[in-house]
Amino acid sequence: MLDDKTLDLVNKYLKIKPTLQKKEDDFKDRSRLQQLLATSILNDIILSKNLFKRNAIIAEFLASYFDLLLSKSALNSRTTICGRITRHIMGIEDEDQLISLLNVLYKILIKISNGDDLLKKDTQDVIRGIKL
Amino acid sequence: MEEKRNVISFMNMKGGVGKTTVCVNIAGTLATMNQKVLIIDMDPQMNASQYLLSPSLLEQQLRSKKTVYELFRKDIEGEIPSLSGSELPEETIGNERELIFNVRNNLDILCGNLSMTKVTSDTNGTLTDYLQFFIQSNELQKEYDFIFIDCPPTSSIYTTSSLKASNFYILVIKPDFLSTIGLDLFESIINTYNLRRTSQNKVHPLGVVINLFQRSNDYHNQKIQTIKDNNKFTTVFETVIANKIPIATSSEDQKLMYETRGCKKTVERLTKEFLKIYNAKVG
Repeated sequence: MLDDKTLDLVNKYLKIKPTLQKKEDDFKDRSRLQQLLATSILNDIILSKNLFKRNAIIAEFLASYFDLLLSKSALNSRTTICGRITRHIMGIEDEDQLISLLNVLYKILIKISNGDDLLKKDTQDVIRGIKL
Repeated sequence: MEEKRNVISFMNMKGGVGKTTVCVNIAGTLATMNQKVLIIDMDPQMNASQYLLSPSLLEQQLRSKKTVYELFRKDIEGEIPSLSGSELPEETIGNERELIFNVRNNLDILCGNLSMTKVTSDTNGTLTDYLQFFIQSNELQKEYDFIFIDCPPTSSIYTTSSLKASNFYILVIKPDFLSTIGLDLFESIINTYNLRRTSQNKVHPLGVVINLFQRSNDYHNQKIQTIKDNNKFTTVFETVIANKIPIATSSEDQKLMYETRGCKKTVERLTKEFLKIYNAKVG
């Protein structure tokens, strides 16, 4: 799927990634790319006016699926929301936590491709919302 | 030498999914592959002990007080005599090694005990550390290639003890609605548990094993697909265990799947897959 030049870009990124971080982690290259892709995909979803007419719905969506709470001021701008999402995902240091996020993101993509209401909860969503 | 990360709990919030069957049979097959395995039966229902030990051997273990309950007895029963002023029997950590019983070549068990139902709350704040302490103080991680903990369903003092002692967990599920919900509930509990742990003390998923599968059942096939879709990035074992009567009937005679006609290949495949996944995780 990726051509040679794009692969060069990916490899270059992976090589310089440690210099971007304050703390070292034990993420494998695959996890780093998954983190990057998850950030891009979720930001792309958030920017969609087709899916989210109003920013208030985004707040509900992010709280429900990712337990990500936004301040009222952050809700004024989708750009700010994307910044929060980027920090949230790129700040993940634990591989299991990343896997949970990817599972949720994949489920969201299934819902979108089926034309399902993203805010309509199934049992799995309700359980995820239980705060222990 | 770095400590081995070889303590694995078999769990699910939901009962009746076959945690014990999967735990005991992977352990038994590993033992035939020259891997030394210890099973710790943390379930007060003591199904793993019943699976592996004949009634007479089980009775012998219970009579001679060689069960997991001995790790807790002093704290649970000791409260009463200590209040009356009588002295508690002196027990040493060294004696605890003798609680382990060799049941087959390369396969040992620390038997369960119904009396574990008396261990209901962490009264002194350290009860949930006892199992981990038992493993560490007796250097069992060095002695064994694998230590499997068979856990009861629901979140309890037993599961917390098991999680504290474990490096990994395997989730056993049945391809039905309630069982898959158990998967979500369990993930929620693990995430909360891990939040309060340092990276070395976190417990990691090894994978999901699907048990009691009926191949001709469309509902089961659909559920497996749902499980895979909802947990796309979680390891789901390719080998599934079919719902076969001989597995149940053999267990009554303490026969494992590799000794049961029509089940040997499945359990060998599952065990090889287990080893592959485990080795990839520990590096």
